[in-house]
Amino acid sequence: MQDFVVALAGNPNTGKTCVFNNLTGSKQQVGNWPGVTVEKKEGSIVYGDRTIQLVDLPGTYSLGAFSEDEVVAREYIMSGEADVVIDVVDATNLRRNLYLTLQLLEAGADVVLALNMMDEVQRYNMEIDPKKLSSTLGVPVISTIASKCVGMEDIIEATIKLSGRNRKEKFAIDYGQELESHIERLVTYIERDVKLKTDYPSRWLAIKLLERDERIVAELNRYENAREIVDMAKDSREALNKKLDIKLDSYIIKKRYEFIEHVLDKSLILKESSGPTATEKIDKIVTHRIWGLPIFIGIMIIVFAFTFALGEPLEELVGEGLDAFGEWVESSLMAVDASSIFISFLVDGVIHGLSAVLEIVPLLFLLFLMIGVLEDSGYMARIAYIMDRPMKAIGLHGKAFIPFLLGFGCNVPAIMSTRTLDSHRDRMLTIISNPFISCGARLPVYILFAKVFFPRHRVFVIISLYLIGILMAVLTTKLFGKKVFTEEDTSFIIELPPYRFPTLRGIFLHMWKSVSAFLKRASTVILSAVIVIWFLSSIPFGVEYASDESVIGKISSIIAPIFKPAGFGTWQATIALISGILAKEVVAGTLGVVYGAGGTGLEAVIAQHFTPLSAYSFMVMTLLYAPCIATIGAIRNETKSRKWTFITLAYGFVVAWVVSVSIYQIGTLLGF
Amino acid sequence: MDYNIMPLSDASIGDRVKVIEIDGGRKVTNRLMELGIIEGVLLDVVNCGGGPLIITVGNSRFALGQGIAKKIIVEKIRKNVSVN
Ligand SMILES: Nc1nc2c(ncn2[C@@H]2O[C@H](COP(=O)(O)OP(=O)(O)OP(=O)(O)O)[C@@H](O)[C@H]2O)c(=O)[nH]1
Ligand SMILES: [Mg+2]
Repeated sequence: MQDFVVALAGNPNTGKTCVFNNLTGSKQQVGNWPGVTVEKKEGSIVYGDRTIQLVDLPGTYSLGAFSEDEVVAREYIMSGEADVVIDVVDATNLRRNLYLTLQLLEAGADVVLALNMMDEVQRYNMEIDPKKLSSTLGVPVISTIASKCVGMEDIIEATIKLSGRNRKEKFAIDYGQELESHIERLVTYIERDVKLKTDYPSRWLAIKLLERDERIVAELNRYENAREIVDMAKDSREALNKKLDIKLDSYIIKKRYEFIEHVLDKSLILKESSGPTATEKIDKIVTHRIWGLPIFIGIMIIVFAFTFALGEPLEELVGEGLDAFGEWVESSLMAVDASSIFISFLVDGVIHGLSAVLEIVPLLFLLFLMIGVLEDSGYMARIAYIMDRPMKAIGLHGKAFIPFLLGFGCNVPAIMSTRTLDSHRDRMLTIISNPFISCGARLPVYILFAKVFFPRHRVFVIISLYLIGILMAVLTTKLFGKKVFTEEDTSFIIELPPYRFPTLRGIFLHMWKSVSAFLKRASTVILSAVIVIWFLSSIPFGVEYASDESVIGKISSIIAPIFKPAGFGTWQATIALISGILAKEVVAGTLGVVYGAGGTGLEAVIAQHFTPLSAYSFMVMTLLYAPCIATIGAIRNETKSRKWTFITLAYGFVVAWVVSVSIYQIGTLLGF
Repeated sequence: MDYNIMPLSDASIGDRVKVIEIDGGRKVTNRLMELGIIEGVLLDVVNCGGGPLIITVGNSRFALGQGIAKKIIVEKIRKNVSVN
């Protein structure tokens, strides 16, 4: 049977990705806040003898496209690649959700309506009649509870059935006499043009032209005779704007809502309001004008305290295990007289290189568990609200805080999440400053150095690094906001979803995704990097392993003087930083390889090569100096500018150098 | 002029207001309307006080910045209903 393509569309946070994961068996990110999915994701379903391509899209409130993530959804839907669109709607917010549904129908899409969150409908004391809804809208309606996998099979069946059907009767909203006469006139002209008529549904095109849809107008530039029609639509707009007592855009939107009211009249029963919901009660406390911010800061302290308090003992346990494993491998290989080069490869290269990295797995696990709870509970969107006022001070609004928060996990998704910000300026500022936010991959270095030099104030030292990162991000935003991107955007809107109890499955998904991505990195990029470093430390053959005479020692010594003023002008530290650009964990991994030691052995070597002051300066350098390759790629992708990617990198390095050098020099003066 | 008519930014916690007009640029006006904040709709102000507001429309809640709230002209219909 022939394949067909199905897109998942809907408002933000309605459960599209949940449906996608259920149907395809993927593990894409799900979270209880709007804007989790910001790019299109593909998967496939094999159902009976059919293969269905399923495409998960970012949430969007309309096809008008307000922000970059919405543009992704809109472009895909408008491209017509999808044979069927599954419109996932939040049944508890039907009125608003149906707005997009109408736009899909007007655009001529074949729609299956997934009436999701049916479990929550009762809580709001509502009753929905899916059959009536289906008959008034003229589309199949399926009741679902995506988080509990209810109704998934029905969706596929309805989709398959619809895909085989010939185009149904045209869907049309009555826009009232005044407008209809103009639509009609435009339609007649559109239909005279054979090319236009075949490329677009004419009524829809007429309406889009009256709405002055920028994309459509741009598209029509490609058609020879379209100029005339565009001009005509412009005249109609002007005439209607004069005639109607409100703006034409508003009039059209109102008419759509009137249609929705008509649909809901028949299919929605709203009983008495049921009194304050749990969400209202929680919000009263956590979004409190005065207490909101202290509560948030308290929660963040708990997040980090929990991560480190529980993670550190585990980290040590794993470290000891890896130590013992390394020793065991070494002694058993020696016992069987393995060649010394092979032993060096396995022990110096692979084991020493990876152990400093793998040690932090428990910490990462806990960190992502906590971020997962924030994401799934619904608190994430509240953070945007609470942080709006503080963010104002640096010329951004609250939504721009979310990328910073996600950056504590990994900068790549953080930078991608800036797509939800409406203005170019806010996006640029948030992207440029994001690399300073300390991601999980920088932890191995902090852990290693803090353990050696600040055993009693470990957590304090690590937190201070996080704070330096935040401070630099704030200063950067302020600097670029004042000097380069000056136009402030005031349109802060974010939907606050109801609080939901994080499910074990959901939390597991978060951890699984992040930790498996980490392990994958460890077994690919990080492993290859440490092997290359090991190799370069071993050649030319006959040279003492990882000595100044090795290739790596020689090359790296040339660059090392740059870091001398920061207190660590050794070639070992230099190569660690350079290779760390591949992935930040590699910084610690490389130190293990070039010092030929892991675990406690490495700690002892480091204690000889650094002072507490130069160690702190090195940690600050690791924090700030450069984003990893994946992050650089994300910056390039999202800014769509080589120039700004370069500026971000150069600026970041200068900042890192100045801060590290200042810390070291001032510290030396003060006698540390 | 009826003193019950005001920008949403001047409403206080617990107020129930009716949207009279949205007086913003094209982009913001359209976005608000797409979210269901249209003329005649009732909004409950759940939170405010200098910073952004939280309002409910039907079962949806939105946080709106001051800049946007200034552009939504509303009529106060009920004052300070206690929302506990
Ligand atoms: N109670 C309930 N919660 C659900 C249901 N379906 C999804 N959820 C929850 O709703 C939230 C949003 O789900 P997602 O799948 O991330 O939503 P999305 O539409 O992909 O969201 P965006 O990518 O942000 O547009 C998650 O917390 C889900 O667990 C449902 O049927 N009932
Ligand atoms: Mg999603």
